Formats: sequence, structure tokens, C-alpha cells
Amino acid sequence: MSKERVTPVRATSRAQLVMRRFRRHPLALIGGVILTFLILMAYVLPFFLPYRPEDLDPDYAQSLVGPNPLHWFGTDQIGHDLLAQSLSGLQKSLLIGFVAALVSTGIAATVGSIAGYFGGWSDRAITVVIEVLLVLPSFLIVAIISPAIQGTSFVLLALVIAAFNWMLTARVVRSLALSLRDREYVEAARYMGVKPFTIIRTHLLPNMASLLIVDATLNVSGAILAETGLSYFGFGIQPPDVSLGTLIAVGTSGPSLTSSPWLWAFPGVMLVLTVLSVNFIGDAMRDAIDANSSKGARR
Amino acid sequence: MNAPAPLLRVTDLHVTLPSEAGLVRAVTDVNFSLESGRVLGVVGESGSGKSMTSKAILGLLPESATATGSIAFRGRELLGLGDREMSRLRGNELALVPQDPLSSLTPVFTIGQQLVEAMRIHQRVTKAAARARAIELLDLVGISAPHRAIDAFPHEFSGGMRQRVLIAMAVANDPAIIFADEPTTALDVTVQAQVLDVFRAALEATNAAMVIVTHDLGVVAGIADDVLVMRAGDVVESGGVDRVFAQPQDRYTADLIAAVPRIDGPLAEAPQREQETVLLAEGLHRHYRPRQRMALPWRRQHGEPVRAVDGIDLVISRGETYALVGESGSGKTSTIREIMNLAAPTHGRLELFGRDVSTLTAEERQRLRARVQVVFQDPHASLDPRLPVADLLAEPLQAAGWGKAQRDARVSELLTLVGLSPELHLERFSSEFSGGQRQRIAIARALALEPELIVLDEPVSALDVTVQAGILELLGELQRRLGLSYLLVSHDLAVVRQVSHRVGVMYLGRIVEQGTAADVLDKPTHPYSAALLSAVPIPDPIVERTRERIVLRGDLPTATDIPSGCRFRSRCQVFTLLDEAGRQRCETQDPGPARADAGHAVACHFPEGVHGG
Repeated sequence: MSKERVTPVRATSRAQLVMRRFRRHPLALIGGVILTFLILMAYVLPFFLPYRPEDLDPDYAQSLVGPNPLHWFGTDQIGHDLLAQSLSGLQKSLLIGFVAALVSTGIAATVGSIAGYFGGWSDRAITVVIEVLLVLPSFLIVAIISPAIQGTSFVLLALVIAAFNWMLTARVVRSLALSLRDREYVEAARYMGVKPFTIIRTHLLPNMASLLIVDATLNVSGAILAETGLSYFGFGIQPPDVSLGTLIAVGTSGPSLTSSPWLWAFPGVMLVLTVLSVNFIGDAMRDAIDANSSKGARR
Repeated sequence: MNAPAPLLRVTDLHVTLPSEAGLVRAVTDVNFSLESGRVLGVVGESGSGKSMTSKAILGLLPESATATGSIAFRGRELLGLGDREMSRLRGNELALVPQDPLSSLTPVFTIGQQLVEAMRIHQRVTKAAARARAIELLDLVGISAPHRAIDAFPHEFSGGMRQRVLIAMAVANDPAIIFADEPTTALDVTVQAQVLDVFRAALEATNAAMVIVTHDLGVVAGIADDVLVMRAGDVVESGGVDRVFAQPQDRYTADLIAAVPRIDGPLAEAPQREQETVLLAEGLHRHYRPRQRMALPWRRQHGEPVRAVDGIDLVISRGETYALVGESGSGKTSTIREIMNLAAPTHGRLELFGRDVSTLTAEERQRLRARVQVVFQDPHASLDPRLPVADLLAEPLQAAGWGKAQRDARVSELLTLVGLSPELHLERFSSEFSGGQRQRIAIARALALEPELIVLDEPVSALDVTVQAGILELLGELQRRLGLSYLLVSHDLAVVRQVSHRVGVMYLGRIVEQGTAADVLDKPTHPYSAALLSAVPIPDPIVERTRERIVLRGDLPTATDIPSGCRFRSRCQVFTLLDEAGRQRCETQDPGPARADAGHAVACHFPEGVHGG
């Protein structure tokens, strides 16, 4: 069968092909629209709101008011506008999600390809590190570390989350690098005298790009969930800063769980929408890049 | 034709496939008919639609494909039959021998279970009767000790033996037509000769008709009665095999036949042998130890080392082409790896341009790399699909530290050198080129740093014959113009004959015969060389019918258990004819490698046996 390659009528570059398959995917459209909407909301809407999340003066007259034309999402116990709070939380969640995803995929790509390409002792050492990190309960460790980084930038929290999130991808990257290492073009490069790190940069990483892109996308939602989880239990974002996690935690504690459901419902919906849209995009990307998937193909 | 309904008649067959770039017409307007007992060879280059034609007949087209026209089997229309009805015919009346024997048998069932299954799907027979028949079939296809072989698992069989099993499976239900899609492409010539013999025997035993799809005109010349020549989905010529090969009426057919290198063709003109030695190997060895488990360092493993390269003597002079030939597994690739790695061998000595590689410093090694380059077999695999041509060609230059402006100039120069256009091709990716163009890019890349020695690892075996000719011509021209030396590794002896000046025949990690191309290819004295040469098919049905073939027994042993004494004795055709004393000598005395300094050297105790018999 391999002898029987059918010549296409018109050559299409791979990037164009992937884009076309991606756009044809229904999930890509849904996810893309929702995510764009959320990003715009988080970063543009606050300028048009009368309330700032930094307005910390309690306003007991407006305590625990349900959604109304003045406060679309209602207010909390001390009269803060929940919409402003939620948007501030969403900003942080998105930022943490993207930073953590980029960093963790970056670490995974570097470490995994070094282990896979060089093999031998560096491979063994890296594999041991990966396995040790995998058996450690990362949630607990982050929880223990978090008091130390409190008060500093929440980007640091993103880095800590990333530091415990790269191992599984690194293992996949390592095995990919192992197989790419034996490709003839890599062998040819070696015989040309190309330096190992140049080979990794020019041949290995670009050929794993599809995996890395998909992985980074899916890591965004993973990191957002991790941050929310940590914040919910009080280890992540600390007051006066808010995140979707802390908002949900406050909203679900005590009697407000049933008496003022808007407190947790709105941040909750935002969280679900964010994670869902990012996952949709990731899935669509995987289908578009994977030539064997029939979802992106024209029927 | 007077017969009312031929066994198979195909009329106006069209197959179209959807693709991302629009509809592709894979087969357009194919017509032919086939009678019992005849063998039809469908030949063509890749993309000619030959496989699609046979798939359409068997109802095995991909679901998205549409086929129109008519395929009548014994007067019954097959096109449009449902999968259920087709399944009743497939494997029963219409049998298929697939291309790749390695992936066509289920690894978890024994050979016998799979044969019995094939029979019991279509016939009402008891398991015991089917098993008895399976043993008969294995015997028919020439598997020794079929009583034992029937309970073996596929992994215990070599590629050639698995292909025999697949043939047995195909003839199990006495089919009317056997379809064979490139049945010998994955096999070595020696094994190919065995398998083609099995086909002949099987056809004789069943009186079936056969459709053999192949790109190899030599195979068609040897086995087919009629030929169908296809190109880009069209049938360009059809007719009796003798007529088509002797007087092709279509231009393309004539070109195709003329382009096939022939083992009885002319030799390459030898250059004046200069004294300057480019490469020298003396007793070169590379043994691989079985891997030590890190977790259990105290547990010593007592596996035999793999003797991949086991004593090679080799001299290549400036401006000359030296060809290493042999079956797969003979150590050709390990030898060139050993040379390209520029590292100290397990034993022996390797010198490039007069420098011993085991004494090189890292910096010297880096500089030496520029003088030795390699071109791989499959340009699809050896060019990074993610890089445009400009970057591919600049890669060696960048590694050698050239500046940007110099690089750009050299890249354009290189493209012109191999017959491509810098204006048109620089920005494109390798996937946008045809196989031949890709191989030109790979050659251009190898030439980038003006090397003196180029290692060619099967440089044309992944290409169609008409493209092969162009690449071989280019390589010859570059050699004359730039004074290059080539180390050519190939299993295709006809190609070797066309281009090389000196030839070394490898068997199990050693050169068993070497000398000038004229000596080795026309007067082979090692029994292995003789067998290898006789197995190469010739694209001429008349010659092919009268040729006498030396068919080797069995398969290549592995490099972990090389036979004692002469390593070839387990398959040697001369060995079986020797008296007791002669055999003893072969079993106990190693004839040693063929030396590079002797004119025509051979590693055999009884070289006269090849011709005397």
C-alpha cells in the first residue's frame, strides 16, 4: 500500500491543513467563542464597571443582595460587588493557567528531550527524578510551600503548580525523543557534525510540536483547576486577593450555600466555562493535528 | 475471444478517492480479462493505480472510495456487492497474498490455527481434516518438517517462511484467482527466488489464475503470461509478456523496460586507479554486547555478543565507487555506521584519508565529518519534514560555522548542481517534492561541505525505476566532475553492476568475496556470490525462462550464532556436494575474510566448486 501514494491535485502545506481541519471542528468554534468571551470579560469589562475589586470598604447596607440591575451578580456579606470580584478572580485564574501551562510544557519538553536524545546516564537520572516526583503527593507539597510564597506575586504560585505538573508530559516527550533520535534525518544531522542541542532544537522539538501544543492547551485547564483547588482550601491565593477558588470557598461555607447561592454559582459557572472551553480547544486541536482522527476530516 | 464468460472480466473500471485537496482519480478506464491458469502481471510505478485495481476487484477499497464500471467474475457482477457476499468469495474463490508477510499473520495464534481457520470459514471440514490438509499445504509451499512447523507461532518464522505460509493460506480453499500485491518486495532476492518458485508450484497444483501486482519488471518477466502496464491510473499497454517485453508499442512501456538496470547489462567504466587511498579498513570489527541491566548489576548476563561487523578489509581509492552487496542482515548497514561514527572499532583499524580514527580528538573528528558524508535510502525519512529546503541544505554549513551570506550562496549553488531550481524550490518543504527530487535534495545536502567520500546507503532502492536512472546518472556525473569516491551499499546487484568499479560481497558481517566489478559480477567464485547473482531476476521473459537458478537453502543465520568454520556452510550449495574430508574442513577451518590487497579475493575453501559442481 505504501507504494501506492495518490498524488494530490493541489499541494497543501501541513499548517494550512491543520488550520482547516481545526476550523471545521465544531468544538473549536464553541470553545473559541466561549474563551474569547471570557478573556474579554476578564480584562475589558472591569473598565466599564462602577465597582473595583480594590474597593474594600465594607458597605453593610448592600450586604448579601441577590442579583439586581445594580449588582448583576449580587453582593457578598460585606457588600462587595460579586461581578467585580469574580472578574478579578477570573483574571488571576486565566493568568495562572496560561503561565503554569507554558512553564510546565516547557520544562517537560526540555527535560524529556534531553533524556530521550542523550540516553545513558542523563536518561536514567532524569527518569528517577520524574518517578520520585510522580509518587510525591504534589497537592500536599504545594500546600506546604504556599505559606512561604504568600504575599509575593501569584505568578510564583503558577510556577509552583507548574513544577509539579510536568512529569507525565516529560515521560511522553522522552519516549517520542527516543523514537525521533533514530530517524534518518537526525542521524544525518549527527553525521554532519551538528551539535546535540541544535539537533534537539531544530529536529526534535518541531517534530513534537503537535503533542506539545495540545499538551499545553490541556495543561491550562489543569493548572486552573489546581489553583482553584488550592485556593478553595486556603493554600493558594490569599485575601485580600481573590480567585475563583476563594470565591467558591467563601460562597459555599456556612448558611450561604443555600441562602445566597449566587455567591458560589457565578464564580462556579465561570470556572466550568473556562475549563470547558480550553478543553474543547485542546480536543479540537488534537483531532486536527492527528491525521488518523476522522472528526476533522471531510465526510 | 470466443469463450462465453471469462473467469474475470474488468470493463471500464474507474476508482476515485476524496482527499483534502479534492477528488483524486486513482484508476481510470481499466479493461482486461483473465482466464483460468493464466498469470497476469500488473506493473507500474508508485501512484499508477495498480494496487487500487486489485483492491477494487477484491472489494477492499477504502469506504470513501467510489468505483464504477464492471467487474464480472464468472459472469457475476462483483461491483456493488455487499461486504457479506464479498466475504463469501474472498479467501475462497478470490485469494489474496499480501505484501508484508511480517504484519499479515496474527502473532497470538499458531500457523496451524490460522490455516485451519482460513479453511473452516469457507468449508465444512472437521478440525482434524483441516489440520491434515494444512500440513499438506505447508509441505506444498516447501516448509521443512511441516508436522512441527504447524504448531509454531509466526515469530518463529523468517519473512520468507511467513510469505510461504500466506501462500499456503491463499491456496487453502482452491481459489479460482490468487491476487498477490507486491508479494516479494519486502524480501531479499535469494528469498524472492524461493518464493516465486513456490508460487509456480502452487499455481500448478491448483490450476488457479493469478494477478500479480508489482513494480519489478524482472519478477513479471519470470512468472507472468500477460502484462498490464499502468501509469497514473491508466492502462498504457497490455498483451502477452513476450510481445510486450520484446516489442513494446507504447513509449512509456519502452522507457520503463529500458530504465531497469540489468544484471546482464554493461559494466561501469573503471577509472584509472589512483594510488591515493581515501578509506582503509583492516580487520574492522564491531561487536555489540547484550545490555547490562542497571537495576541488577551483580547479575551478569551471558548472552553472546552480536557480531555485526566481523572482520572487514576494505580499500577505497579516490574517484572510485566501491559497492558492498549482500542480503539484509549481512552487516552492510552496520559497516557504514561504523565508518560514519568515526569512533574506534571493537578491534581492527579504520583509516580515513590516512588518519586513524581511533586517535582523533573531538575537534579533528568534527573537521573530518565535512570530508565524509552520507546519503540515505529513503529521502522521505532522511529529510526533516518540518524544514524548508533552504534550511535543510544550510544545516551542514551552519554546523561547520559558515556565515549567513556564504550559506545562502552555497545553497543556491547546490540546488543548481543537482538539477533543481533555486528560485522555485528554496522555500518549499520536502513533502512537496517527488521521491526523485527529494533524493536530489539529500544528495545536495551531502555535497554541501565538498566531501571527498560519500557513503550511499541504498540510494535508489526507494525510487521508481525511471527516477532511479536519473539519480544514478547524476551521481556518476558528480563523481566525474568533483572527483568523489563512493561507498555504495545496495542489495540490488543490477544497480551495482551499472555504477560500481569494485565490489565486495558481504555475508554475516564479513566480506566473502571482493575484487573488480568485472571479476566479482561476471566470474563469481564464492558460492554465495554465485547464488546471489543467479537469483536476480532479468526483465526479459525469454532469458528468464532458460536461466538456471541456484536456490539457497534456508535463511540467513543471526549475527549472534555464526556457524563455526566457514560461516556460509549452513546454506552452501557446494558444501552439500563435498566429500567427508572436505566438509570437515569447512566445519572446522575459518577461511578468513577476503583480503583487500589481493586482486580478486575469495573466502572459500573450494572456490572451484562453484563452476565445476
